[in-house]
Amino acid sequence: MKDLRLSFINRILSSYTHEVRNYLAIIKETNGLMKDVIQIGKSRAVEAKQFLGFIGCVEDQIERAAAITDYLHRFAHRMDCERTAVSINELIEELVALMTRLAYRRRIAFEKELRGGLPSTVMNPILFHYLLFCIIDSRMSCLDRNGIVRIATSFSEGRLRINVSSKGDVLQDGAAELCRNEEINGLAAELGAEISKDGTDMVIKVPIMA
Amino acid sequence: MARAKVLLVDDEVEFASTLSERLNIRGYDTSAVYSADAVLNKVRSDIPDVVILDLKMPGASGLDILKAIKQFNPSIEVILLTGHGSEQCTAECESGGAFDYMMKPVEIDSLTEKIEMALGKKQK
Repeated sequence: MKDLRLSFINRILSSYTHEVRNYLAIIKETNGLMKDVIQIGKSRAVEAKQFLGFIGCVEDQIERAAAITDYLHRFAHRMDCERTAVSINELIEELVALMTRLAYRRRIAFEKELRGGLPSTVMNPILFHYLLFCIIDSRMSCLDRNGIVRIATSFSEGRLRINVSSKGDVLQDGAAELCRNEEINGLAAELGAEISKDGTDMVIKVPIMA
Repeated sequence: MARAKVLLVDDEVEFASTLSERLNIRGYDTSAVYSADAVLNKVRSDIPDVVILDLKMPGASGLDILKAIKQFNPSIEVILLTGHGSEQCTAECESGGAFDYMMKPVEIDSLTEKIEMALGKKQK
């Protein structure tokens, strides 16, 4: 079990480093092209317009890298406390941002419908991240290219509810299997949560704890 | 003398288009494609001398694309671009028939050096 948890963190880190390396590569090539243009000695008018485009591209990459780094920073600090008050929506935002590259490589996109104003709860945030990662990863592996994994949050019967569904060509429906998975159920039990299947959706119900 | 044809394959459009422009400046006849699906059509319609191929493309493995290119025309030399070099990566590149691999971000001078070496190998 511990090895699997480490492997989850490895996959998040590898997704992050891949993403950042791409941003750095774009910045390096854009700067290199600016240098090339200067060395060729094109006319000033062309340079100014072209250079504004280059600068915009570098700024975009820096912003993208800073945003994903911020998510990784927050993710890392989720391991500081085993029990703390958390916003489920924030945890989902972080995880989805860090899983986007993994999804993109499978040509899968994420959709989120996170209801505002949900009450916070007290839980082990990294354990929740791991549980949700397993469920999203399982949904992705059931989908063919160009599919969508949708994550929605709501509040009902005194519990937070997270629905994870998939749209697109389904290779296999692993939802029932996932509900019976010992590790997934063990994780849910540690969190005081419940896993169930609602149609084709996987549902996590998390109690509100002060 | 005809310019050597270089095909860049990377889903990061900004990266591929910028690198393509830099290689054009250095005298290569460079074009770029941004998806795994487009590679083989492009290779068949306009046979390149060298392909620079990202190892991790959405929806396809760079190694599978490498094998398909080599199957179509073994004389096309392929330089793989990877995020992280490792012994496993070296072994996979060799077994797939790649000319070499480079880590991103690339040094343009090292890349052109590798392209020239790949072109030299083709001429032998």
